[in-house]
Amino acid sequence: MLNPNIGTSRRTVIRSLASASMLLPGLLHELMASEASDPLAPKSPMFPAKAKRVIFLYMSGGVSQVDTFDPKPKLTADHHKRYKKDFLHASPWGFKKYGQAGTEVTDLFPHIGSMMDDICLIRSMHNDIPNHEQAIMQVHGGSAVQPRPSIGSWVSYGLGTMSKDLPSYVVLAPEVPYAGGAAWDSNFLPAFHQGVRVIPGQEAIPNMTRAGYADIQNMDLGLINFFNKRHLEQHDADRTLATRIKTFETAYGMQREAPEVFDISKESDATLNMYGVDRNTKKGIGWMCLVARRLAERGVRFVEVIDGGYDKYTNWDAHLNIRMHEPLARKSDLPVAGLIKDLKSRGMLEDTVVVWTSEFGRKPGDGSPDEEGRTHWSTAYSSWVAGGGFKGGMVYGSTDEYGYTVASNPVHIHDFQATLLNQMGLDHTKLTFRHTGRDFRLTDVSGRVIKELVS
Amino acid sequence: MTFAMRSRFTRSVHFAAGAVALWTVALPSRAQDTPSTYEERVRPVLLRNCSGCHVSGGHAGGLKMDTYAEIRKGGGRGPTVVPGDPAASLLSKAIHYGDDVLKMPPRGKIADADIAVIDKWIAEGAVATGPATVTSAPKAEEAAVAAPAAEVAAKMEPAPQSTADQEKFFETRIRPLFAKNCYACHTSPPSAGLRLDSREAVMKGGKDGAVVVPGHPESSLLVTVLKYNGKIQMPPRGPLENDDVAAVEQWIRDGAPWPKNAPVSPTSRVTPEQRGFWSFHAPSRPVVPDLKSAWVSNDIDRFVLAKLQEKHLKPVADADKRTLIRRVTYDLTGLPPTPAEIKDFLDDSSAGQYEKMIDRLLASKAYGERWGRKWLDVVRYADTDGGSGDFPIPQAYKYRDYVIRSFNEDKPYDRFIREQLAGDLLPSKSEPERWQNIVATGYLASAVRADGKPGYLSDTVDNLGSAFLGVTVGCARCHDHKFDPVPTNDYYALYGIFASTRFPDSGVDGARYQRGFVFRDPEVVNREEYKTFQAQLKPIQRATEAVMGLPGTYDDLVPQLQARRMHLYEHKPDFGETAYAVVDDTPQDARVHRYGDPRELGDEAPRGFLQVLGGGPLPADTKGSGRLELANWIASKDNPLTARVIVNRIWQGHFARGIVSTPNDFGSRGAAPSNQALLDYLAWKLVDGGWSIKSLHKEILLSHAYRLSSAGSAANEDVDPENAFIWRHSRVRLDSEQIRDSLLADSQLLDRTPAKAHPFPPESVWNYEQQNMFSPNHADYETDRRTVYQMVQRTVRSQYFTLFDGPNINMSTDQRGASLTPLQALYFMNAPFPRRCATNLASILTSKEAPEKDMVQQAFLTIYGRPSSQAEMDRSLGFLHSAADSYATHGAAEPSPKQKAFEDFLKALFASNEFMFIE
Repeated sequence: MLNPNIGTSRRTVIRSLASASMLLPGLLHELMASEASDPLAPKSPMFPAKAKRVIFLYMSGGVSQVDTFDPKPKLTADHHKRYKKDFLHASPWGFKKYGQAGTEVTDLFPHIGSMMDDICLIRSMHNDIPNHEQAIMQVHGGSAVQPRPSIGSWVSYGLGTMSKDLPSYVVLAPEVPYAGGAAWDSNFLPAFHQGVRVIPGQEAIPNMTRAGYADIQNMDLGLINFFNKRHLEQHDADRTLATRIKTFETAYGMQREAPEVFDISKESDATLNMYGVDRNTKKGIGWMCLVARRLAERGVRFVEVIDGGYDKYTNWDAHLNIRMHEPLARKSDLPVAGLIKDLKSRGMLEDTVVVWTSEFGRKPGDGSPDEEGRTHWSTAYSSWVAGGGFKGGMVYGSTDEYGYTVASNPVHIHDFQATLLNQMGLDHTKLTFRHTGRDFRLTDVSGRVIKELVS
Repeated sequence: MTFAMRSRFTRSVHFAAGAVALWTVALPSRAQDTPSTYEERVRPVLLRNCSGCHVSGGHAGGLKMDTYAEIRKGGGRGPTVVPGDPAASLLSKAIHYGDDVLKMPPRGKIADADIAVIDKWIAEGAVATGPATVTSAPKAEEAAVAAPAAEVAAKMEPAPQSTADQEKFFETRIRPLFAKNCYACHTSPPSAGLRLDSREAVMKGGKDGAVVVPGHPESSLLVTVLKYNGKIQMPPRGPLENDDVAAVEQWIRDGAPWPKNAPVSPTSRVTPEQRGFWSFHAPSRPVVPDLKSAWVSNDIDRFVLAKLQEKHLKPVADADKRTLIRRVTYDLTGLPPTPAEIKDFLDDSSAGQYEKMIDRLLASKAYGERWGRKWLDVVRYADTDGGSGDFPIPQAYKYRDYVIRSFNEDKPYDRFIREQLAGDLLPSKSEPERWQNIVATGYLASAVRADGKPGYLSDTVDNLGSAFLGVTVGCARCHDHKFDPVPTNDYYALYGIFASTRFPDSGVDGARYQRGFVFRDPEVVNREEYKTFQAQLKPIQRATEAVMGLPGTYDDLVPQLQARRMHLYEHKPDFGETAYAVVDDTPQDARVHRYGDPRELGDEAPRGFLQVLGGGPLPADTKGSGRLELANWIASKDNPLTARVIVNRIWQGHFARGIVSTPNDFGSRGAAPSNQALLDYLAWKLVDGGWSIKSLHKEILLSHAYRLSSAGSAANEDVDPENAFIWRHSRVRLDSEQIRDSLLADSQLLDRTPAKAHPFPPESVWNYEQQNMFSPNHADYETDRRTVYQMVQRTVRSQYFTLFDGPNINMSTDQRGASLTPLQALYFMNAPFPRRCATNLASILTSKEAPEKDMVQQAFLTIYGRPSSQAEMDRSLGFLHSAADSYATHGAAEPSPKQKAFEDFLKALFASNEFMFIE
């Protein structure tokens, strides 16, 4: 599924580097040959894949299902009534019908609502522990108990990268989420599958900005190659040594490509408007969504966008007052909808999976009638997926009349992960890595592909 | 236990009774003729029709109908019967299907004759004329109402007489299906209390009640869950194929026959066969192969050469002296040799020069910094606690320094084990010794603080198994180990020892200060000012706990209470030195956590050690937690694994690959030893030499095998591409510490003054919690000391360690990665640190105002440990001139274009492969 142009242009680049004395011609052969040993070289999926890449929009802190994608008229009607040990709390927002199926979506998300025909909504998500740290670990790594490799690392491990000049797994995160870097950690998978965290507004990839003058850096690289080539000749053209030589060439490409990827100033007005950003924007959810598209376009396998972080006043962790969802929703509604629209207009939605999820939902009621916030709730929540073979316009699963429990078609986080990997052409039971004497996988010992979700 | 046993014929009877019977309809004469006693008439009907849900353990809707009393008591919907009035009785309404809401049994209406029996009984007053509980089998005559007599249940019946066909069906279809799909969870310990590995267990059911009603697939919970349409869906990874479900239905319909000779399930005992695995037997002193060869330097070589000959491999030539000194120096100290050290070694042609060098390096302080770090990898050392607030542990470094000191002192390894596990319980000759023994238990204290107490106790057991024994004990937390003979009981036998130990608390949401740290002066707690301080703290703590127990948010109150606590800490008296260490607590055995869930407690597991390694319960006269006994058991020469595991780690540190290439796993899933005789020899040698690690290093380094070159050999590579049998020396990339330490050392920036405590904020400002972690981005406390002394944060890896495969901070690391990535190249191209080192070295080398050629030569000697060749000299000088010209053209070079060019030249040497790899 590799874009043939990428390979070609790569070779062109190597040749041009050679002519610019960046690389010595004698090395070319070895460099080309050692591509096979590149652990991030693109790999074929296990079976024909529907999607080539993932954009994972992670709303940090826990988005309330009953205030966003899972309307509960009875909850509104029974506001402040007792239910079990709780007092029910109505959503402060109304819902409107969208799309051909007339799917009801909160007034917080009119733009996302307008894309419902492209969105496959799951109202019956559940995972195991309603605590941020554990739930974030589980949504990303499958296990709520131990830090494990993140889903992005697994995809990188399974498929490699289609971009020679960019990492396989990029995380756009202005702040770290509650679980810290565990969210994108490669854990026991080789370290190069770890998410490379980009802090919007700062140097995107560590050390990607050239320090010093371009001509002198070229001379430096020429000198390094001179030393390395001699060394290689004296050491039987060892593959490991050749591989490291090649990393400098890739790094050089990265240094050249990366600043351009993160610079949105050359996008058209129409595109910028789709995301609600202007030409000089360098951070924010709009910038992140647009850059996610730019990264995906250039072959990055897995892009994660993290909205919010560990600060409960600026993430979705609305304990204090559920109305704190409103400013966040207002910021992300247009860019998230814009991302789908943009991917669609470029013909990329077909083979790109866009995931929108949180680590869990929020509880529809509370022990106190005066409570204005909502607490964590992992027994039932909503997530959605668009593109990559997922059925647009579909609503899968349901919750009870108040949104407390799953009423039909439960989708455990492992099922969700299994289905996502399936669309990438990876069998979640076969994507394994041997560690401490056993084969580990993202979905631990469970998970099943929910075939109803995909066409 | 009584079961209703019927065959598939019964069902047809049910469904034949299609007509709606009303109470007014005359009852069938048969029923009228017979006295409607509860025991003789009613009970069999209930047994036949209500089993699974209300009888034989079921209590759906809160209703049990096993006994007369229970029926009269009723269930969640109230009384079941109104004596004398069937029309008003819930039971009758339900079976008549006359109630809109409640139709019972849900799968279909029961036979009219049976309905008649119930109605008549209720109409006659619903009396009990027999014993309250039915214990005898219903009479054949009664059973014949609905089913052939032979198919009716009997009390405590054994498995029904199964036919040969049925047995075959069970063995070929059912047992394999259970084994494949269910046994991962439903054996020992049973998930949800349910075991599926014997008929008795299957019939007993689990916490959700009975799962199989023999003869009744339609009311067997097992079938419902397999069909994936209820609340419980099994197996969790996805539904079975339809014909598998059909097979289970058929098996239940046949009465769930289970052949008598069925093998028993995995037990908590370890069998002799399981003990047969090589690593569970104590090593005996192997016979040294009798080889006469000039190649052999010591006994290690005899084992290596014997293996090479067996595999038809020929060792390559020896490494030259320069390669050797660089290799040995990096191996023992983690630092490159200085040009002066290289010169001394090259100039010394005395017989014992190589051994002299080894002795010098083993005696250097840098040795402990190198090898201590390797141990810190194994015990997943960190300076913060890894809980949701990631609290700093300002005292953690004491344990780190203890480890480094222990290696430098060549502390016998058995002693090192005892101190770390039970230092507080060991006798001591002096106060400093007592204190260092207490600090040593920082090993236990520093368990990862995620997931509460069960979380860190389990982490302790996991790490203990990996670090000292090379057994993946952690696998037995939720179920018996799948591959090695470690039953769950053994896991909780160890767990109980740590549950009987008091761990310090570095801070949690509800108490954001240190609790339970060990005072150096044990008398502190009796001092007045200590008591006063505690008395002031206590009400704040109580109030905090009370507020946090309230429903809803507590954002207004907690900050006020924290402010008071922080204010109190600002004026906290000095209680002297403390350590992050453990002490004994009340001894108690732990109960097994079923499926690893601390809320699901199973049987008590008496404290003890792993059976497969010859352990058993603690001696009866054990007084404390059992930690001292555990330490002695591990640190014993009779423990089959302790010595093997540590010698393998040492071997790996010198050859890049362990004799067992999975150093934390010597079990059946680990790699087999490439040379077991050699491993056992080294283990024997270690114990024989008084557990001296330094003697072991020396013996290894003096072997010929260690001194081979890294040259390739096509013939050997075909046979042994991994170099498992040591036909050459493996080339290795510098690890993250070696890279940074070398940059600092080569550029003379390395700070060799003793490390101090990290500059953490004082406890009086700690207000950390999940939403306000200590430092969500790695705190920058970097110094120019060796990398082992850098602060390690548990929840966030530093960017540098991510880049160069640093240790996993949450789990034991037995082997570092050695990845080669473009991001690493970017580091050498653009990061400030290599530039800073190059700048410093350039200023030193150029300050001597020597000829340029000499400066280049000095740079080669410093960074590569060798002089440059003519070609390299020419190329380097050419580079220096072009780069200096370019800097001059750009016109912005401080201090001078020439010096800037020299910096770039040094940076290129640092970035090159010769710097990065050890041959």
